Amino acid sequence: MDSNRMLSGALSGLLIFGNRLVWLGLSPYKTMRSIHDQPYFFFPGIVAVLIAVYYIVAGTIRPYTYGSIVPILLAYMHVLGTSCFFVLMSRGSLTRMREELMTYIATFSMTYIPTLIWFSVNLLLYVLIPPPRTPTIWGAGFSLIYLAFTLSLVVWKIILLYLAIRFATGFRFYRIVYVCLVYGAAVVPYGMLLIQTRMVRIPFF
Amino acid sequence: MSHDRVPEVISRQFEQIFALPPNDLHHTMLTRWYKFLTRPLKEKAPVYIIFIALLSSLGIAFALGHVLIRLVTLLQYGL
Repeated sequence: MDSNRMLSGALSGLLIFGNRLVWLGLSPYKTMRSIHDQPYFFFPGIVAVLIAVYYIVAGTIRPYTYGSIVPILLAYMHVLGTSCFFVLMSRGSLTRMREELMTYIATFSMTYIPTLIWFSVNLLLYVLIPPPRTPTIWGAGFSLIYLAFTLSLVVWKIILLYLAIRFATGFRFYRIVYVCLVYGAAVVPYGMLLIQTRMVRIPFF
Repeated sequence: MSHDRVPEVISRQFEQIFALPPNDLHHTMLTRWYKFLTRPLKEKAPVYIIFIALLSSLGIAFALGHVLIRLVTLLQYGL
């Protein structure tokens, strides 16, 4: 009986997550707002599982220098660090902010979805049509489509991140731009360091 | 919808309206432009995202030429 209840709970959780995922693409504004207003605290768990699955599969196809566990932990730290950063920027302190931090994590973990989609498609294309690309009509055509796909995910990611900051912190436009510059000043050198030390192949934000 | 639920629904909508301070760019023209540009993104985001991405990729392809192929190889292969 209990296992049936657990199974139905897990399935309904996955359905809710899938529903939010589709609507995050179709209507990011309303969906991000509802994710923040009614946060499901199992969403970061599902994102964490998806991150782990991706890096383990990617590690078997193209092994990482330090194994798959390092990029998995780095991705978790990235989501956690981003959430902590914006709680700090918004409230000035992390003490007695546990519940709020959970809401931030639930909101900001969803901004990792475009990154995961891009990584997964990239991996699939790496297997199906391995690089390098050639300067033929097919190579140039593929490059153009690939770039358009990459840019659409970047724009989607920027929109999701902006909405997450807006709904979580309540900041207005200029303040969001300001905190994003501070965030970028911390994250860009960190990403470069990860590439230099060969912990990741592409910086993830 | 039952009559008991009407105040609840209205109060939830009011809460949503007043939960966030409206974006003000401290300049009437800028605020108007901001609202003009963000309204379609609120309503039909995928259409605009794809449009922006296609336009930007064409611009980048035009500007970079053959370097685009090397850029895509780099993105696909990693560093």
